[in-house]
Amino acid sequence: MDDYSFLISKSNVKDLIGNLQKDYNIFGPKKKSNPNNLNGKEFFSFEYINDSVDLCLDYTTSILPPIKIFFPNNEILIRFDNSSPMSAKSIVEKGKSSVFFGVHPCDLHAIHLMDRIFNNKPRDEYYLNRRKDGILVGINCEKPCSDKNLCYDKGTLNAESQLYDIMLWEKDKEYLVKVSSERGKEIIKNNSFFTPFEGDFNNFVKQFNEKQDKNFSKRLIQDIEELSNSVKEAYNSKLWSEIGDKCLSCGSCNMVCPTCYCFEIKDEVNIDLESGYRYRSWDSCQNCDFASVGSGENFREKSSQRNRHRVYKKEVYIPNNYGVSGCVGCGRCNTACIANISLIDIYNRVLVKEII
Amino acid sequence: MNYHSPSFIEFETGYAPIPAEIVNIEKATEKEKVFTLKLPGNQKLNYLPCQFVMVSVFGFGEAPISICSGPEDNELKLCIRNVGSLTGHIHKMNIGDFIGIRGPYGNGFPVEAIKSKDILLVAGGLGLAPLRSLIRYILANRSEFGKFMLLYGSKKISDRLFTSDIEDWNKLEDIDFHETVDVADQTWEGNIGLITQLFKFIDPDPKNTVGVVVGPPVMYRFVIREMLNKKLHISQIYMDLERRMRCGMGKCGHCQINEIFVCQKGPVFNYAEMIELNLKEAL
Repeated sequence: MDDYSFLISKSNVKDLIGNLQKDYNIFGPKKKSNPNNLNGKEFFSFEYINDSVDLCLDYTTSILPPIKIFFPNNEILIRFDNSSPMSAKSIVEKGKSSVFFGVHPCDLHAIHLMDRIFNNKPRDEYYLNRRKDGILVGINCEKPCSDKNLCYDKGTLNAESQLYDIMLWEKDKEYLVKVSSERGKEIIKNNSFFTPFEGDFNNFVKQFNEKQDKNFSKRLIQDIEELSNSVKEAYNSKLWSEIGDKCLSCGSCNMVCPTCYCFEIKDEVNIDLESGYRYRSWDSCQNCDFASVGSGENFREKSSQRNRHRVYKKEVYIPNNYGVSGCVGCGRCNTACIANISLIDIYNRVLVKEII
Repeated sequence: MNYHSPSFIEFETGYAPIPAEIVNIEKATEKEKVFTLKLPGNQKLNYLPCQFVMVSVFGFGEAPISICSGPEDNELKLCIRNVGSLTGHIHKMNIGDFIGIRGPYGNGFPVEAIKSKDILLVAGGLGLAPLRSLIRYILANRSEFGKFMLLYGSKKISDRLFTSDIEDWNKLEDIDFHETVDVADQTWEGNIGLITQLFKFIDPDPKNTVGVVVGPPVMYRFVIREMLNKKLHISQIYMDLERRMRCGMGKCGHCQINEIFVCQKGPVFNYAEMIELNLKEAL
């Protein structure tokens, strides 16, 4: 099973998507129109693919990570009715299965971590319900998507086979395809575009990895193994207040992060003033009142405390609970920050211990 | 099926509250009322002392509220302070109205771990509400515990909660009960001053006493120091922490202290464990 490898011509991908659309909702990277041509930069969003020509597998990174489709903003938790006696029903979405086409390895790592977090009891049925119907088709990166990513340091540049159903490697005018699940096998079996790969799969991957080694460079000045301990030692560092002074507490870093999942719960009443729904919206641990309580006490009142909490959550708390870093190195937060706060910078300063 | 018009199915997720009828309302102070609730079909909520429920009024939202009745009581009681739009709305409700309840959540008090011990409970302000649940439990199982010391402090005379309980506790021979208010006029014959002053009235046996603190955040450090002065070991000290629980499921992140989700692993913490986990933000 593990060694099933195939080829598909790039020109056939559009027709493959067309075929898959009969049975699946397709999500994938799509070029965003950029009328102002900001620095000639291209933007991509990972979203529902209505027309297969929109799918753009040759993309840098998506503004929001694909995981947010499993954990959408403003997701309805319950529908309620206040008419006597009051009643409430929890509901989950019932749709057809979906194929996530073109997920980068960093995002596959993030989805795998979120699967574990939301599977933790009491389980998050909303996420898991969407996730169980989601088939992941990954695509490997030969070149870095920007100078803000840390995947090469974080070991998330490539994904193990349990993190995807199907994986693609770019190979000239084709994609090399590896299938690692029954659901993935089903897709290969039902579509004639895939031809068995006769070459040496392992050798191809080895050469691909060598190209990656040439194209990617480390962002951190030390090995990643040191990071969690160095962050732990920096609890009382001046660094946090320095960052806190720059931070505008806007929460952009959290919104674009593939492993951020904090949320606020809100109610909306319909026009009949009786019925309505309760939904959750993404929240940010950087928001000033994130940890405040009814009595007015705020347990992380200072921006420095909130910034420290964010970095600790990624590098200490999630590792303590799950044995892996909470940061997959996608670099989105570094791009999104309007105050130019960069995790790369924070990590490096923590690693050299210049700021204790 | 178009993705943009998804259909929904009913599914048990833990987020749907059940309707609880308000069967009694006692005005405790200007800001607090005690609501007695009846669940559908008279079902009984199983809970431990110091657990909490998520209380909601649809359209106004949801908030964590400690249960102030004892686990063995026939009634479910919540003491609710009027601090915002949700609790303000609940304060306007009448007998016969319904509020939504889900839970209970949290670890609750490890009652088995403190059996046969002497007990020292210290409550400040609204902290008496969750502690009352433990007090009720101890009184209902009095023979299983040793000496029972109870200290309660309020800001003003008019802030005192559960005053009829206090009358009973004052009368009971086997509770060493002491009370204080921070400020008072001449009508007050009792102690005046901070709760830490009450420690001079008690003489806990350091070898066999378990101390429990619940109150406003500023109180913990000072009360714990008094307990340590009385030579209680850190592992004999427990506290119940207030945090902004939103989901109760250990997910939303609002109640998080380090890697701990207070709504699941708390709200009751052992001081020694807190030190071991280095939960600096907790105090």
